[in-house]
Amino acid sequence: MMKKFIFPLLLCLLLCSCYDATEVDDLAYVVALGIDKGEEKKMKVTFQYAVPLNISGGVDSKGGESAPLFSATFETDAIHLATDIANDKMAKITDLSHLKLIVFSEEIAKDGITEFRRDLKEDFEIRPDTSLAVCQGSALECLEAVSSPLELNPSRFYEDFFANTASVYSFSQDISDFLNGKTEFPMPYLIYEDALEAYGMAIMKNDRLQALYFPQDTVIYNILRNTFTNLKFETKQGVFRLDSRLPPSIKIETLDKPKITFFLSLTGEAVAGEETLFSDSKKAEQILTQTLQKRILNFLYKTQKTDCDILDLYKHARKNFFTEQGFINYNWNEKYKDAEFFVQISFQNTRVQ
Amino acid sequence: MKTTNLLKKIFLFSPNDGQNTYTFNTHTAPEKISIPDPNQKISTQYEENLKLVSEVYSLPENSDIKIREFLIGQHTRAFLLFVEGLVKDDSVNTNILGPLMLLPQSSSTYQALHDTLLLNSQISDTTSFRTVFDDVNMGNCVLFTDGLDTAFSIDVKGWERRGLDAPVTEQVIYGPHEGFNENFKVNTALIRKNIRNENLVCETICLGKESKTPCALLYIKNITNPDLIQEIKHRLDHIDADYIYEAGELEQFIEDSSFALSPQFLTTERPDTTASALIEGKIALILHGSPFALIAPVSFSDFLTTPEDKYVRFPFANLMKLIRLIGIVSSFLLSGLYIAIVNFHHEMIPADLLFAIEATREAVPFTALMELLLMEVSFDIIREASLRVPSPIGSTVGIIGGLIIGQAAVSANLVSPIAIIIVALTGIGSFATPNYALNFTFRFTRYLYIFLGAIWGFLGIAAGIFMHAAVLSMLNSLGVSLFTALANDNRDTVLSYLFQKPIWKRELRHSYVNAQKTKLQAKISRKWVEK
Amino acid sequence: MENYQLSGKEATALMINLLCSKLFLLAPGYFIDNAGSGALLTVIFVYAVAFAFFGIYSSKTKRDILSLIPSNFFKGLFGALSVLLLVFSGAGTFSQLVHYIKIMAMPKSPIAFLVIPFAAAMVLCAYAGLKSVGKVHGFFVPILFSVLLVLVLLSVQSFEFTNLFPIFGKGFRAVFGEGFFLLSSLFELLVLLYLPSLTSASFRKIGFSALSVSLFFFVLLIGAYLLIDGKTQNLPIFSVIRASALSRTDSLFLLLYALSGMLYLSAVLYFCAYIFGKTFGLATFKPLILPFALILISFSEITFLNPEEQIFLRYTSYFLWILPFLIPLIITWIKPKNKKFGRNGKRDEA
Repeated sequence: MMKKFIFPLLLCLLLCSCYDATEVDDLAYVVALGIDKGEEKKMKVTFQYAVPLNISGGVDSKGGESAPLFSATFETDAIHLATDIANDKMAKITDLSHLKLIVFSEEIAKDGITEFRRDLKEDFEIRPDTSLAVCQGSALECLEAVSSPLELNPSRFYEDFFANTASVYSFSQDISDFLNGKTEFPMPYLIYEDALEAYGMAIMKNDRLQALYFPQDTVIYNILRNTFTNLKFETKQGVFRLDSRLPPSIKIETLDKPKITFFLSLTGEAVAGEETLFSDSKKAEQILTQTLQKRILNFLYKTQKTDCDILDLYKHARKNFFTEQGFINYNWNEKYKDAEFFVQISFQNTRVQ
Repeated sequence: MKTTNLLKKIFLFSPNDGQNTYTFNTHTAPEKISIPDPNQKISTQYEENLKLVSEVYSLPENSDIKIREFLIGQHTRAFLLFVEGLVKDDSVNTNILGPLMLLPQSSSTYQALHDTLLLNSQISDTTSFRTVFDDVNMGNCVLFTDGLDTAFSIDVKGWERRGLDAPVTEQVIYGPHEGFNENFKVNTALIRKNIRNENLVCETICLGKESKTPCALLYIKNITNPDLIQEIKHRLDHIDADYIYEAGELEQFIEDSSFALSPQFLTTERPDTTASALIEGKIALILHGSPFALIAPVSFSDFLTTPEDKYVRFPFANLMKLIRLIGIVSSFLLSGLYIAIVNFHHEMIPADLLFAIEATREAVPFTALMELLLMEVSFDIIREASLRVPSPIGSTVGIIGGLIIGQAAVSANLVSPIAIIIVALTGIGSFATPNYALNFTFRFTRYLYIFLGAIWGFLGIAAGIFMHAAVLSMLNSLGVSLFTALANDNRDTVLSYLFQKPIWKRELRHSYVNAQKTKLQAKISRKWVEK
Repeated sequence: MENYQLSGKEATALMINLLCSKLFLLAPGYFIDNAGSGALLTVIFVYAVAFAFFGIYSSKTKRDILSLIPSNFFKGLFGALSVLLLVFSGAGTFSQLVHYIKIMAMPKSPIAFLVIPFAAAMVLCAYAGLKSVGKVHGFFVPILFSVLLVLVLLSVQSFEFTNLFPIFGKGFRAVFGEGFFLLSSLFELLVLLYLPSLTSASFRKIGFSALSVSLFFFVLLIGAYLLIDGKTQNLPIFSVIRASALSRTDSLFLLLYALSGMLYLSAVLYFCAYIFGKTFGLATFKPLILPFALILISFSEITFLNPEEQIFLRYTSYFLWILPFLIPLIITWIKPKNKKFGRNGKRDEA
């Protein structure tokens, strides 16, 4: 009895349904998304699609010359409308589930990116580890400048480009903070001439581009965020190789003028430069800590001047309060402007005398 | 004239032309042939007995039933009744006919015959024809003597049989290589050879009203729980069927739930597995004519165990068990998961692999579901066919069929290579299932999972797993839940069922057997460790 | 009725599932909405109260709750209320469950289509009987538990401990005052009061171990959620998984989510029918399973209208806790007093 019912039922369901089922080969996967300011409408959205036939097995069958990427640009008012237009114009369905990078042009970042939050948040397809970046000039040109001779697969290029901890001048900012409503955060600033390059940070405040920092600031940002290994740090006297020994800790005294102290614990050694760096470990330590301290303080005061709490210092300040109301009454945003910064560095020289 | 005949033949052709047309009548009940009542007492009259026997066995039409008339001690008439081919001719000649015919002083009294003349170890006497016929059908030889109302049934069974072979379905590398054959005396002897204990009881129960197939019920009387024995006897005694010939049939007659997706008795071809089950406190059934023993009660983990697990050192045994579990799970789940992922959850696939899949799928005209079903069905056909193909080319058909069809299908763009990999993995995984009966289950459920995965993606798979578990956990094997290991309150845990402990840790019998003796070995079995 | 007796472990797994599933599926959102970063304190407070209530209750009796109620009228009332609220609670959970699955993985499918596998699974399991319900829980609860543990551990990389501060979150009143009413999210503890007649194991032990395990589980999940910037309202645990090292495999979470939902629903369905049968002294309750399943499904359709609003818990949380916590306590208090009155009464008459 049961079997008699189950099988026809299954068949019926198979025939009438599968609402969400889509074949892999019916989809066109976007690996990078570029957003430029539009001329007639709000924005120009560039989808950079992966071309699977040229990525896997394409090398031997087509001589390895055909491009693994293909871009299409649509002028619309919202990202969702752009996918609709793309679906109209192409046989395959545009799919954002393998999106690796979203690039905003500088112009659109200055105008504000708040509306994209709503647009992107609705889409559960977009992974939380998608990277965000701002680029000089046009996002379309930026994406077209991508060439990845080492990787067959462009999506891997995007993944590795930002996740690369060996590079001190780049960092990765994923989309989850942005989607969760954070309005003060840095994004990598991309420039392109021959190839794509991360050059400094674009600081966002209230979803608007507030300031651009230099690549040197990125180094300090990476040190303070503890996202570095084998960092080469330049001083006037020579170059040091640094590793972190303990994660940096932050202590904040919430007085009228907040006192913010950073404790850094590093290990490393001199790798190039004056002879004293190698012979006198005390001296080397002194040189490093002084330079580093100075540069960190410079960086911190710079963030304070541009009024951006990109290191999430407010989270540490919250520790001193029992309730959220207490923290709100303290008015951190105002007080932060008058904060004083201190840096303490303990450095362990690994060079054996 | 000749040509007209030929033309006539051609144009007026009818297949039954010129033949006697016979149609088998299946509408009216057949005419019943009367048989003399076999439930009679043996008469003292020689002729009467001879007449009844000839009538019952429809002699002389029946060519393999033999009646040998002769004189005992040259004075008393007697005849032997036996089935040609079932008895050992040598013993009949030398041990029965020899002394009776050749010794002139032979007497025909009951005492003389029983005590001195019949040179055989197994003799029983009977006064009923019913017993006589049963014994003759089983391969005994029966002696009727003029003037005696008792017949002697002499065990001279000696039919042709297959020798002991390695078990076909349960081969091992470590461990004994002998398996049961179709003769149940040999089978019970094999078990007794393994156990060598006087407490092993081998009761014979005849099953089937007409077939009277002997069935041996084995247990160890000071270990097995008497309730279990009583229950199985109750079930065996209450089968009302005419013919039972195979262990598989018997299993279906006595199992708890016949629609279930899992076997509830363990079938094994191996005497060592049977013996160790008996020692565990379980019972075993061996049916005449079947090379399989049925073991109950069992838990689900017993279906996932091979005898080798006990013989191999325990770390390797556990590694093999783990790998086998993965194989078994993939044998029913992998295709469903593949369909679910490919149709619903693309984002799970790493980008590299996804682009590779997309590139190969680009040229394939079918949907992923269609190509998977195509391959699954053709794989099952190959498997089914390679069983029937004569053995020398059978294995070649399996391998070549699989390889060639797969290769050709890929190059013809009928299916994508990834689908072939999935189907091959499922197929190989299903061979990792040690129990043949369970293998069927997983082959069947695999299709259900494919459909569920194709309809609802992971949601369907989740529902499938859940319902599968719910249905399986309903089942009982002789009153013991198949999932007895799960969340019970006694000392056994799931891990202790699924994996093996080191040999010195296997101190207690499984608690679900509830045996008379719980201890299997001493707390410290390797006494030499203590100095 | 069936003669199968749940083993202690099965009963514990059943209770863990009933307590945790709903929390795991939905509740971290409520707790964090209510108390902000003080949610962990609320959880501990709520569980302390639950432990205290249950400790007092179980020290007074070892029997089924229905057998403690003296009058048939109150017995019927209590049973009917339990069934009704259990159905509501189950239906509410059901609707949100299906709705979240729709958001999470299957946005194009109509809700009725997603209901089918759940309905089939729960009806099948409940029909298969107590043994099946128990065994299935014994099988899946440890697996789900350990998988979630692993997933939470994998998300350690995105933990930010500063998210736990300020420690009292939205203030003492929110944590301990309004937080008290979140006791209602432990409503399913009601089923435990009916368990003594279904299991031979100690009911006190089952209760305490289920409460402790679910406390651990809950602290773990809410902790993880808070640590990973717990601001998203929907699908709290889903965002934990997405933040983990295996962020691509979050669809697997759908598997866990659906499985725990099916476990929860099958248990609720079985106990709705069981409690109904027990209250009104029915000889068999199996035929009730299908009607109750239909009721569950159709009620869940009603709350579909506005799943974002979380109507059920919002409007019922103020009184829902009374049934599994307060009333049983009152019953155990009244009973000895009744006896005293009875004796006094007799003496007075004499």
